[in-house]
Amino acid sequence: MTGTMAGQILARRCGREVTPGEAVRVPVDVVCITDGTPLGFLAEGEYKVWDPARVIMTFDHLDRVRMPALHQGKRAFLDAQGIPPENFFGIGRHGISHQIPAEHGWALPGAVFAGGDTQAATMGALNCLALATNESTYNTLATGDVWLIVPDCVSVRLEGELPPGFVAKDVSEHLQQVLAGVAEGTIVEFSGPAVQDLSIDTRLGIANVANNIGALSMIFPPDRALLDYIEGRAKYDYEPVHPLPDAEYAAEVVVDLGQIRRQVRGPDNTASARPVAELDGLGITAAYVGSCSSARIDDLALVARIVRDRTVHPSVRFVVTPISSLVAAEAARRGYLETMLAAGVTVTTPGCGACFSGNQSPLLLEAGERCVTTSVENNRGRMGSDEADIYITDPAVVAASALAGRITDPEPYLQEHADAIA
Amino acid sequence: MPSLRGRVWQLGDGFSCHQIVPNRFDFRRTADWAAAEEHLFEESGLSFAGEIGDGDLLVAGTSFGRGHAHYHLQAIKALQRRGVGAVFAVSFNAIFQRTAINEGFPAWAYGSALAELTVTGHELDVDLDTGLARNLSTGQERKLSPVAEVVREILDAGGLEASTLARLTK
Repeated sequence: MTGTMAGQILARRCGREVTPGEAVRVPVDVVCITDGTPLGFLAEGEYKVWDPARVIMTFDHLDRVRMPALHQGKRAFLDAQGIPPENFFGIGRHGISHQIPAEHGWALPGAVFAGGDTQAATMGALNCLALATNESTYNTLATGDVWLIVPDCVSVRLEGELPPGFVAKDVSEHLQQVLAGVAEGTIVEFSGPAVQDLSIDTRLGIANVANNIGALSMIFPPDRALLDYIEGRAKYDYEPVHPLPDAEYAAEVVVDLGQIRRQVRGPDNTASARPVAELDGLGITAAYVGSCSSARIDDLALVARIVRDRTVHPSVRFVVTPISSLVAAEAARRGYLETMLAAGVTVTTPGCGACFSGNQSPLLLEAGERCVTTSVENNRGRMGSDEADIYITDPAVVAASALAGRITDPEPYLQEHADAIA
Repeated sequence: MPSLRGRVWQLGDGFSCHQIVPNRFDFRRTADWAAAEEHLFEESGLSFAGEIGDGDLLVAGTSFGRGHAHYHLQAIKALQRRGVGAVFAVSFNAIFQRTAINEGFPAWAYGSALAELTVTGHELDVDLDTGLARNLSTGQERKLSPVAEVVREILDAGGLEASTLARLTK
C-alpha cells in the first residue's frame, strides 16, 4: 500500500501513512448521487449535506414508473439543500453517474470521489480514489467522509496494443478472468506502456469492471492525455498522484492487450466466457449497446461502422442508449446517430437504460427471449423476465449479431467497412 | 459491544452471496427481506443449513460474501433476520464486509487464527473490543487483534446511520 497511488491519496487525507487492515475515515472531495440513490435521513430536511458545492446529482436510472415525480422531488431536495443548480444533471444534461463526473470535471486526479451507484470505481480512470458508497451514501453526504478498511493494492501492468475494432468491454471481460481470485478486496492500480494508447473513454470502461471482480476500486496513473482531457473542465484544484518506484503491491499481473479476444458470456451469470465462434449461429431477439460499461463515443463509433448501409434483422430489436447527453450530441455531430437510425437501430435518451429492468427502456425482455448486450450484469431477471437469456459481449458482436439475427463474429463486417468512420 | 457468544458453524473458502440468498432476491428488484430469509442458504450446499439459527456464529474461510454488490444487502438482511450473531472469516469480499458493518452486522476478518481455534458445533465467545477469543467447548483461548475502532463505533451504534446521526448531533 505504501507508495501506491491509492496509498498516497489516503496518506494525504489522513495526514499519515495508512496500513492495510486498519480502518480509517477519509474526507471526500465530491459525492455523486443519482435519481436512484436513497437519501435516508437527509430526505426529511432536518440535516444538511456537508458541503452543497461538492454534491452533484445525475439522472440516469430513469425509473420506469416514478420518473416525472422523481425529477421534481429531487430538484426540490437539491434546492432545499442549497446545492447549486449547475450541479444537477437532470433531464437535458443527464447521463450515467459513471460518465458525467468525468465529462464535467468533477472527478479529478488525486481526489477522493464517492459515488452512490455500484460501479463508482469507474472514475478511477481519472487518477482519483473512487469509492462506491451505494446504499450508505447519504451518510457520506452528511459527514463528507467515508470509512474504509485499508486494502492491499494489486498492480496490473498493461502491455501490447489493443487490436483495431476492440474497445473497453473486451478488456474488462478479459480482466474478470485474469483477476479472479487475485484482486478481490483490493485496489487495482494500472501501469505499463499500453496505458498511454488508451483513450479516457476506454480507461473509464475498464475501471468500470472493479465491482464485478470484487475489487474495492481501480485507478489509472496520470499522463498527458488525462491532463489534456481535464484541461478546461476541472471544477476544483487537484494534484495528480504517481506511484512511487518502491510502491508495495500484494500482487503484480501483466496483461498483454494484443492477446485479448472477443468473448461472449451467457445465458446467465453462472456461465463462463467463451470465444464468439463457440456460440456462432445462436438466434437472438434483442440486442443492446448501453450501460456504464459501454456506450461511450468509441463504442458508438464501432456500432455505426458495422451497421452503416445495412439493416437490423427484422426479428431483432436493437436498442442503443448513449451513456450521456454529451456523448449523444457528439454521436449526432459525427453522423453516428443518422447511420444507426437509418439501419433501424432504436436510439434512446441517455442513461442506464435496459441494463436493469426497473429503468425506462423499450428493451424489457420477455420470457423466452435471447439478448446480446454490452451491459453490466446477466443474472436472471436483470433485464426483464427470469426466463430470458442474457449474453454479455462487446459492442461489435452485439451490432453484427443484431444484423445477422444470431450471434456472429463481427470481423467480416468490420473488414468490409475498414474504410468507414473510425 | 459485549462479547459475542454462540454455536459455531464452519464454512469453506469463497462462500458466495448466492449461497446465502439466491440471486433472484436481488434487493433492487424485490427488497423483500422476509422472503430472502425464507430462502436463506437454499443454494449453500450445506447439510446443516436448516440448523443455523439464533445467536450462531459463522466461521468462514477466504473471500466470504463473494458476488456482485447487488447480492450483498439481501444476504446480510436475511442473516440478521435469522438471528446469526456474526460472521468471522479468514477474509471477506471487501464490499460485502462494508455493507454488513453498515447494517450493524458484525463481519470481521481474523485471518486463519480464529478458524484454527474452532470447528462446527463448538461454543465460541469472541470479544470484539479486546480480541479475546475463547472456545468454551475445548477451553482454548487466543488473543486476536481487536476490531478496528471505527468499525466498533459503527457496530456499537447499531449501524452506519445511527453512528452518523450520533456524530452529527455531538
